Amino acid sequence: MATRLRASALTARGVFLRLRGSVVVPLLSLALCLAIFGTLAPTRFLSAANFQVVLTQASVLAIVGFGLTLVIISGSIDLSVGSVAALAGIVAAQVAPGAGPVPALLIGLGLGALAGLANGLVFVYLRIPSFLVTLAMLTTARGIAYLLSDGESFVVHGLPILGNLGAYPTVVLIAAALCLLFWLILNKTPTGLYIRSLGGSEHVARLVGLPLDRLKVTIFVFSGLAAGLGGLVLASRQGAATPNLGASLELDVITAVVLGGTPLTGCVGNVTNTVIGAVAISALSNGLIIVGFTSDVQMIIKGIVLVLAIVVALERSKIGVIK
Amino acid sequence: MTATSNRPAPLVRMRGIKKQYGQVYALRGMNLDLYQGEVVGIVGDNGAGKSTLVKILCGAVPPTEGETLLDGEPVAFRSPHEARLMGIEIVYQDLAVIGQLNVTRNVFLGREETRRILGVRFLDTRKMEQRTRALMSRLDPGLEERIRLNVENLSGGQRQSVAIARAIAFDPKVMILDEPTAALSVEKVELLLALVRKLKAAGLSIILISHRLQDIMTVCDRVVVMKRGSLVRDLEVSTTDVGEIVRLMVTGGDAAAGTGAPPLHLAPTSAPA
Repeated sequence: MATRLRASALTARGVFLRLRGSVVVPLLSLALCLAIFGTLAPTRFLSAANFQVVLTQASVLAIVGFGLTLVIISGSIDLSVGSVAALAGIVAAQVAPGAGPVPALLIGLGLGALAGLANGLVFVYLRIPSFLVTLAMLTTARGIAYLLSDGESFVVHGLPILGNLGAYPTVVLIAAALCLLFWLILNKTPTGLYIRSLGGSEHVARLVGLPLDRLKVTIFVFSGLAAGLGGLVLASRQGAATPNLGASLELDVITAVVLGGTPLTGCVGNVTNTVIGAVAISALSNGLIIVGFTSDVQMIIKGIVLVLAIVVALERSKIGVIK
Repeated sequence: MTATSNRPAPLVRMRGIKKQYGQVYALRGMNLDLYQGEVVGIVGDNGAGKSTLVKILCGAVPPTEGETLLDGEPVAFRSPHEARLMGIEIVYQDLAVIGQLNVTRNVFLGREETRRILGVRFLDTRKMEQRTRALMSRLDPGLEERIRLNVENLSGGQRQSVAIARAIAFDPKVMILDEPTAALSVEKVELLLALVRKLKAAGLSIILISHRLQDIMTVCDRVVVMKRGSLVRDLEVSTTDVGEIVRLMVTGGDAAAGTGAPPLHLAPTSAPA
């Protein structure tokens, strides 16, 4: 067996298969980003201040991405994370002046969890594919955000997430802590193993009696919570919450997760991969801005990157029919 | 059934089991007894209802009608999980393993060893690996040092060992093997049959579904012949031969004593999928 694996590693396909799901691809992408933008704009891109900007932006992607990583490993998808982030951010910003920071944060997280719970319950009990359920939530949550804010923006007062702890933005620390938490859940607890099993084979997971309905709902609540936290971080980082907060965030987050090496086919992947993917995508966005690409070109390039990431990550052997 | 009437109460007794899918009867009042430490073969043509019967026993499918007793107590499993908790395990023909998880994870799937740290349940991987190694040293020594390999990297026979290890890991009372030899090489079939004898000697009761009558004759104590959802005959293996079993499978027993299956003209024309 060992010799067979080694032999297959010598072929191009073998190399490709071994790279898939490893951290090599996202690290290479990151290195490529650094090399390109470092060459084009060495002083501005490769400065300590800019690295902090990239890391801060990556932290938001990572925080939301950790939840989405669980969803994708379970074989589903959550397209609603950007809208759920907006809902959590704008409501927290609205209530913070009156209610105080801690209740505001809890309300924001609670809304995120609630949106995730709604996603999970509809997914499980109405038996609708997750991409459709969360596509519906994408517009529903965004609509509620507009409705509750009356289309207004709110200056964020008293949300303590943004501050710095020593030289570090707290956002990075929150992301690091959350990464550890989600890593433990995914890799060291039965729940994490069941998430992988669900993504590996739902049929087998059902036969061995895993509590799949509860598990699926839990996964989407995790994703909603992570998206909610991401929205709070985004709002406090920008100093204002607008109802279009986190617009198309889902695209960046999905790209970060997939580029990180968590294929959409389920079972395989990890939150640590998502960290690297998030940094790579943030470096890309940041570099494109610094080099002077307009937002339309940025969108085109990101679209192409997503396709490339999926080309590398997708396990076609597991799909059979692609439609 | 007279062959078993002088024995203690059966471990499993299924009585009057019917299963209807729409207008189609998969089972039309099937009976089955399984005694402690016994290997029973179930044979029958495609559509005879063998798989449906064991799926009912292992909780994967609810019966339309009928009663199952385990140790004399009536049981009605709502899921395979409930049946497993009561000591009834099945090794499916497709093995039901997850290729992208390793051997240990598959063996313990759904029944992980855990330890609590600060009140949270964490996987006790070391303990599970120790137990998997011990299981594999009995079942398939070649796998003993490969328990961290993902199952997708194993051969068909090795995957079956993983599935069987999962079935016997928690000392079940009954193990059902659904066509276990269909995908095995001749050499591996011998190993599997030897394993069945070993497990029987250790007191396990085994139901073996197989198209290969020579396997049935080699390891089974009794053979249950089914046709069109009914019992044709329940025979001691020592008192019969392949010829008689084939004749019963084909004729439904009509040509012999006229007992067993209902007249064929009353049977549905379409067999269950």
